[in-house]
Amino acid sequence: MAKPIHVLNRRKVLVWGGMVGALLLSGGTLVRWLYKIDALPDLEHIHEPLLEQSFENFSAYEATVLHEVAGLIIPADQHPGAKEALVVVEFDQMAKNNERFKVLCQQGVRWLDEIANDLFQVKSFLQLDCSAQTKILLKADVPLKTVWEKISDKIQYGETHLGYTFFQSLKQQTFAVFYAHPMGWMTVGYHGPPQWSGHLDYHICV
Amino acid sequence: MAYSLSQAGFSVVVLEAGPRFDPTQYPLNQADWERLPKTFSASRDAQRDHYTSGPKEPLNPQYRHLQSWTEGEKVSVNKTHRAPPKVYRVKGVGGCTLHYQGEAHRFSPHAFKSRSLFGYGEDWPIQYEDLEPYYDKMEKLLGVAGDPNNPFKAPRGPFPNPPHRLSCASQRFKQGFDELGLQLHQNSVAILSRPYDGRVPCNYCNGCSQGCMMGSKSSMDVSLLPKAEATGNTRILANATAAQIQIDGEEKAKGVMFFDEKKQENFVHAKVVVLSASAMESPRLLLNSESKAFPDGLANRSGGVGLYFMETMFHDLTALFDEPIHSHKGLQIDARCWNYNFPNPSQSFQAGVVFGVSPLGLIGPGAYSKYLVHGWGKSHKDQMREYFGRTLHLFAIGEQHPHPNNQVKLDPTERDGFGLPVSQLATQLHANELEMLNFMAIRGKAISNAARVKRVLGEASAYDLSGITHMGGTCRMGSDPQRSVVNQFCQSHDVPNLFVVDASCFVTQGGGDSPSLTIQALALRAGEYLAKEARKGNI
Repeated sequence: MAKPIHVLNRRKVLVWGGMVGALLLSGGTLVRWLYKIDALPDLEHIHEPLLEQSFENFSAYEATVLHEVAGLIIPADQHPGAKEALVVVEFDQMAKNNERFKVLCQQGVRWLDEIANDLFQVKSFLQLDCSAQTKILLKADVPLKTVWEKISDKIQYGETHLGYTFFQSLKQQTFAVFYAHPMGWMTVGYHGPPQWSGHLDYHICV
Repeated sequence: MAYSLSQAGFSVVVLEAGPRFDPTQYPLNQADWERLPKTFSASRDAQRDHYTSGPKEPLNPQYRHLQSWTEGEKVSVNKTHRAPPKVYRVKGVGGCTLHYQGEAHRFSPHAFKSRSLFGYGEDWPIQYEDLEPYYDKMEKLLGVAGDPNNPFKAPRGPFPNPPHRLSCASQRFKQGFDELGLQLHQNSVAILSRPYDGRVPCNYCNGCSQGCMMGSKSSMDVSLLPKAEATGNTRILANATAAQIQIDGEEKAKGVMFFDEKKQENFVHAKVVVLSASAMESPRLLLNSESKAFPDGLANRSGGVGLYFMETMFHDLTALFDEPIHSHKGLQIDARCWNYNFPNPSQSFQAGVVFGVSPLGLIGPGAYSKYLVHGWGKSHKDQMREYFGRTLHLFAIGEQHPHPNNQVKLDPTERDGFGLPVSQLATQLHANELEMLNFMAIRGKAISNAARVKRVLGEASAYDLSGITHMGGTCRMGSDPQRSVVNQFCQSHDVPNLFVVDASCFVTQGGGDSPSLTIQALALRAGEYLAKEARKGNI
């Protein structure tokens, strides 16, 4: 009697499982190497020139991308926004003592460029207009749902939820920095820290 | 106690687990004050302040509608258990008065007689009249500001200082209370409304919880402790963590073993030991002080140490108004409604409840962006403008009945940074509390509707969350040594030269009133008794 042929046996499952696992673990590094994502993208046709301030913890390119994103998070209207308040300078200071924040910002900038390339076939987030940039941030604002999305994110960027984590963190810090700045206070009609002036008009409603 | 004993000429050493704060260093005058670490939370030593919780408490699905929510955030329909106990406290010279909102409430006469009047809890071994002279004295020491014409409180004389005017925000919410025939009354607070005792009046910055830079809030570090130190009889050792009370062969306390700021073991001898470490830490210290004579913990022959823990029952509603009400300006809690402080037999629960209005943490734009306004872009900015200065909390605090199963125990395995067993809090909501929380939610909505708020932005309830600011029980006072830990003067039944003077000795919680003034009045009374008995040679 002929021996039955098993398409899958225990050994094959173990071997293939191991290979998939190894790919998942090394995927981020591999793809980073393949993509050479540390390289600066082509900066022709960017909408704004790079910031000229000297940054200690970010390159001028990274700082400019962060600056743009902050400006989309809190745009200027009749009052200044996060760009006018130069919140990116504070991000640079924060990065000095917070390695995790620094790395997240740097990875986030690369993620934005990747998505810009995927969706709009440009090499830099900075080459997009405001509406296209907003589309990318909207994508970043939604947590990944399916397991496949998460695995794919891990393989492609070395971290699950990179775009989401980066954007949530930057949003939170943009709010915190902007509303600790006189330009942020002006936006909502706040007059500054509680002391030493206090609010002696607290009982007046007009 | 330190104030009262040092005034009486006794030599006092205060062991304070936390540091001594300098009010001028509180960050409220910095441009980025909202980004800086909160003064008192930054000082916390996680290893030192560790505590654990008992088994998770399942939520009663019948009250699922009480589940906390915030606009823009999805409510979990699968939530099955209540959040573990979260205690808000400060370790530092001045203790929780450093971050309290200055409320200085007298418990009402009925609050001392809940068993005989309403059939729940126990009666205190003292009555309002026993405490009244000490309330008077303490109010004068602290410069309490208030309106004596509060129909829901015991008749009384004038406060040392006039009441604060209601803020614009409170005036606006008062319209809702008025429409329902309820009284939103000026709160009595240990916050100066005029210059008093060498201190300046409040300038209404609303930052009370983050430490008063002006020294207008009568926290202990700026009011009584300087007076105690000025006598030359009181020495305060900051960063000194009491670890064990030791006894002599006659079963009397002989002193306290503590760890100093270098974490070195030390011992201070004492003729009398007074424990004022809170309803969570006082029982822990007693339980950690077991000996041959007291194998179940010091002063615990009744078995009552740690039992009858009462936490904070609250409901909070965040209300948005159409027009600017300048809700970031004023006092933290300048108005309270005592209509429900007296338990009503026709209600489905038996307990006192007090409503109040407050911006709580919403006193700067950073807090709005962190807690309320979640979007980004143009809509975020528009929403910030729509919300800032127009949002106010309407909250209710009620009393939890004392249950023997709600307790502070020693965790069998967890240790703090000194190797000492930590407190384990086991609390549970019973039917009465659930009905009370339901009542708070229903009335809260009715009041906010009557005030014509634009929108409710969220609700938080002790049904599924824990936020313990007021706690009591655990070393309750009583006349019967078999059923209580201390007597009416906060003196241990078992160890006559040991006193427990904090909210641990509370028998009930005062129907939603804040506990600080009652703790302080009890301390003055206990101090006076201690001094008298010591002079007679009885202690």
